[in-house]
Amino acid sequence: MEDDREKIFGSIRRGLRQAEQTDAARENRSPLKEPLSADFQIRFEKFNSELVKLGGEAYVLDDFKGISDFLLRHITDDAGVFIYDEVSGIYDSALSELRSSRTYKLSTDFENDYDKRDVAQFGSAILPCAACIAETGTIVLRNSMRLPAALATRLFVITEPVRLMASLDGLFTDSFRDAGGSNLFLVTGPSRTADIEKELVTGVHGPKEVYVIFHKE
Amino acid sequence: MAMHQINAFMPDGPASTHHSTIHGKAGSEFDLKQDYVVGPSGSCIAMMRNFYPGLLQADQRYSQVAAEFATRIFEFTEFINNVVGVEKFTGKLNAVVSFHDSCHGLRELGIKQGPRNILRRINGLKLIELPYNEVCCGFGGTFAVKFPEISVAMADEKLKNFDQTKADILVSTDTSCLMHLHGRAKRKGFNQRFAHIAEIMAESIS
Amino acid sequence: MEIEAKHFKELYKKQIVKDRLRSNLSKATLQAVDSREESFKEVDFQFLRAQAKMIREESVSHLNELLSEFEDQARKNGCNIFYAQTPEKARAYVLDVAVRNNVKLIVKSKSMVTEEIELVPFLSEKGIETVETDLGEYIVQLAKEKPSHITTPAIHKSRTEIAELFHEKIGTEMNDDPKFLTAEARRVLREKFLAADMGISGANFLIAETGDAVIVENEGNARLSTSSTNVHVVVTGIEKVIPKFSDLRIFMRVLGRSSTGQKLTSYVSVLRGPRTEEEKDGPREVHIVLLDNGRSSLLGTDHQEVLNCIRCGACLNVCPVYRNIGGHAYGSVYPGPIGSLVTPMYFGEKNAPDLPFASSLCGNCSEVCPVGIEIHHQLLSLRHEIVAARKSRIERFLFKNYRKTMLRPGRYQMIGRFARALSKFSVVRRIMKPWTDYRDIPEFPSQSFREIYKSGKLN
Ligand code: SF4
Repeated sequence: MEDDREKIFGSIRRGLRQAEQTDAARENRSPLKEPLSADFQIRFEKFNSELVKLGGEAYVLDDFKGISDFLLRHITDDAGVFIYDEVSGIYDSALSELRSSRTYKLSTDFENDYDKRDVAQFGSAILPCAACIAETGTIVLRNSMRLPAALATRLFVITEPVRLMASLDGLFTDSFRDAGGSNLFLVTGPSRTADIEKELVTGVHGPKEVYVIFHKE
Repeated sequence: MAMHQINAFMPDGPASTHHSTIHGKAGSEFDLKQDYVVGPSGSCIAMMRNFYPGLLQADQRYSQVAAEFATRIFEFTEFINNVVGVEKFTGKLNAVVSFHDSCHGLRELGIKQGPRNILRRINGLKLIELPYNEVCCGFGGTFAVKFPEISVAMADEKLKNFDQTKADILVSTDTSCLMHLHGRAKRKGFNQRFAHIAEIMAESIS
Repeated sequence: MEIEAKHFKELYKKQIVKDRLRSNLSKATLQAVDSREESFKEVDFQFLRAQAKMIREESVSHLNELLSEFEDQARKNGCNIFYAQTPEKARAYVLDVAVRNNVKLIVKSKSMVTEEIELVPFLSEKGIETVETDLGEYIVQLAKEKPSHITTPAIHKSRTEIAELFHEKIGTEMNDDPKFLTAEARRVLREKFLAADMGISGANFLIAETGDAVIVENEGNARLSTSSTNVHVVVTGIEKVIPKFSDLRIFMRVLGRSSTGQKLTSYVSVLRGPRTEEEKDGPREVHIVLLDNGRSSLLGTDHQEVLNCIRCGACLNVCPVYRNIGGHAYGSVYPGPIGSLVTPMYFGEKNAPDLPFASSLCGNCSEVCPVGIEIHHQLLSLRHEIVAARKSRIERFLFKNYRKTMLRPGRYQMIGRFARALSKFSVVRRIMKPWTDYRDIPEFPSQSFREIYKSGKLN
C-alpha cells in the first residue's frame, strides 16, 4: 500500500517555513534537588526505600548461603522457577539447593520460537539486570528473553553493587543507547493499576512481587 | 488613599478585553499621566499588563505606550504591598474570614501572599484557609452565562469548602468572583458575607 | 468524520446532573492532583518543565528533519514505516498487516491515536477480534462505552458498576473488591495474550537518533502486547518524535509525576525494532504507523505549541470543568482542556463549536502542563477565530455595541445608570436568565462608585 509520506512532508514544510528554527539549549544538570552520594550504602537505602513504597523489597546479602536461604524462603510454591543462564552461571552454588528441590528451567532450555505457554506457567523468575536506579527504585533489564519478566508472579533479580546507579541521568546516556539488543525494559516495582476507583492493586498483568538482591562479597 | 498622601484620580472608561477596542482605548487609560493606575480586579489588570502589549505589538502608535503603561498599572493589593508599603497599614476588626484566590490574580499576576500580608495586619481578624483554595470559583466571564450549570456547579464546590471553614466572611481581591459566589450563595440560602479586601480594610480603619 | 462533540451542549447537561459521577470524579481527580504535587517535591519542576518545553519545541519546529531521521533509523533497525494522512488510511494499513499475517486475535494496549481513528471497532467489524488489555480500557470495551479520561479511561465507573459488568459479561461472581475484579481480568486477559497472534500499541515517544519507540505503562499489558506475538504494530502521531535518547531523562521524570504522581511509571519499554539474532522472543515483524490527521496543518500557526503535548492527563485532573461534567460530556476521545483544543483542530471546528468556550479560563491547566503549553491562552485565541469566522449577526451586533460602549465613556456610564433602572423590566430579566436561573442578581448599587467618587465622600 502506498503511504502518504510525500503529502505529509509537503504539508510540514509548508507550515514550518514561518516557524523559528532554534535548537534547544539543553542543560545537563540533574533536576534532583539533592544529588545522591556515591556511597553504596546510601544509594542502597534510597533504592530500597523507593522500592518498598511500591511494594517491592531489596536486600544486600554477602554469601551464597544467604542468597540460597532467601530464595528457598520466598519460593514455596511448586509453580516452577525460570532461571536465567547468566545468573545460574555466576551464582551456581547459591542456586543448587533450589534446583534440587523445585522444578525449574534455564533460559538455555528454550529454543528460538519457544511456545509462550511454556513460560507463562512459572511462578518465579530469577534474572540478571543491566543496572538499578536508586532515584526511582528501578531495575533495568536487557535480556534475550522478554516474556519471563512480564509473566512470572514473582520476580527476583540478583546483581552486584556496582550496577546500582544514583539516578536516571546515568541511564539515559550514550553507553546505554549504544548497548545493542532490540529493547531496554525498565521495571519499577510490581505491576499495578488504579483503574477501579483509584484504588491501587498490584499484579495486574505482570509480577505481583519484586525482590532485588545485591550480592556483596 | 487620603491617609497616605496619595492623590487618587478616577478615569472615565472601563478596561477592555477585546482586541478591536483596545486601539481606541488608548484615548482613555494610556493618556493618563498619573504615576500609578490601580484596579480592584486581577483580571482587568492582567489584561492590561500581560495582554495589551502583545496585542498592540504591531501597532506603531501604541506598542511603546502599552509597554510603558504596563509598568504603571497595579492590582489593588499589589499596590498596597509593593508601592505604598504594607507596614504603613494596620487595622482592627473582629472577624473570622476565608480568602479566595482569584485565578487571574493568582496565575497571571502571581498574587498569593500579598492579600494575606494585608489581612494579617488587621488585629482581631482570623484567617482560615479554604481547602483547595487555588481552584476556580466558576465565574469565567461569558462562561458563567454560556454554561451556567457548570459555572454554578463550580461555585457550589467552592461554597461547600467555604462552609467547612466556618468563617463568616469570604474575602477576595476580585469583584467578579465575589458577585458570582455571592449570587449563588444567596440562591442556596447561605448567609455568610462576601467582601472585597478593600472593604474589609476600610472597615478595619474606620 | 462526524463526532459527538458537536452536541456538547446536550451532552454536558446529561452528565452534570449525575451527582454520584461528580463525587466519584471529584475524589479521583483531586487525589491525582495531590499526589502529583507531592511527587514533584524531590525535583526542580520549573527546570524540568523549561527543558521539556524547549525540547518539545525543537522537536516540533524540526519535524521534517527529525521524522526523516527517525524513519531512516527505524528502517535500519528493521521496522516498516507507514505514513497515513487520514484515519481511513491508517486503519486500512493495519488491517492489511493483519490479513497478510492471517491474524485471528489481536491484543492491544492503550493508545489515544487508535481511539482517534476508531481502530478497534473497525477491526472487529472486519472479523478480527481485538481485545483492549489495559484494565480501564477493557472495562470500557466490555461496557461498549468510550474512555472518559486519557490516562484513566474508566474513571467514570464505580466499583459496583464494574462488578455488575464483569458478572454479566465474563461470568464472575458478584464481588466489588477491586483486587478481586483485577484478578479476574488478569485471568481472562492472560489467556488472550497467550492465544494472540498480533499486538497493537501506541508510543509515548519516538526517538529520532535511534529509531526507538518508547512506551510507558503501569500494568505490564503493553509489554505483553508488544512482545508476546510475532507481529507488533505501533500506531501513533507524527508529532511524537523527540531528538535524542538522552532527552528521556527529562521526559521520564515529568510524565509519571504529571499523570499519576509516580516518580517513574512501573514499566518503560524502549523498543528498537524486531528481535535480533541473539533474542529468543519478541516480534519478528514491527510496523510503525504515523498519523497526521490535521497535525501538520497546525505548524506555523498560532496553535503550533499544542503539538508539544505528551498526553499526561494532568490538565484534565486539575480542571474544575472536567471534574464536574466528566470526559463523556466532551463527546471526543480527547476530553478536558487539551481535548477542547485538539478536538476542533483534528476533527474540524464544525465538529466541536462549543468546546473552546467550555472553560472559565482559570489557567490551572497551563500551570501544571509539564511541557508548558499555555492551554488557556490557546483556548482564548481559538475562541476569537471561531467568533470571527462565524459572523453571527447577533454576535457581531453585540461586539459592535460593546466596542462602541467601551470606547465612549459617556455611553458606558449612561448604560450603567440605566442598568439599575432597566433590571426591573421583564425583557431585561429574560436576557439575564442564564444568570438569574441559578444565582441571585447582584443589587445594582443606588450610586455607582464613580458617582460616590465624584461626590467627594471618599475623602
Ligand atoms: S496539554 Fe499538557 S497537561 Fe494536558 S495532557 Fe498535554 S502535556 Fe499533559
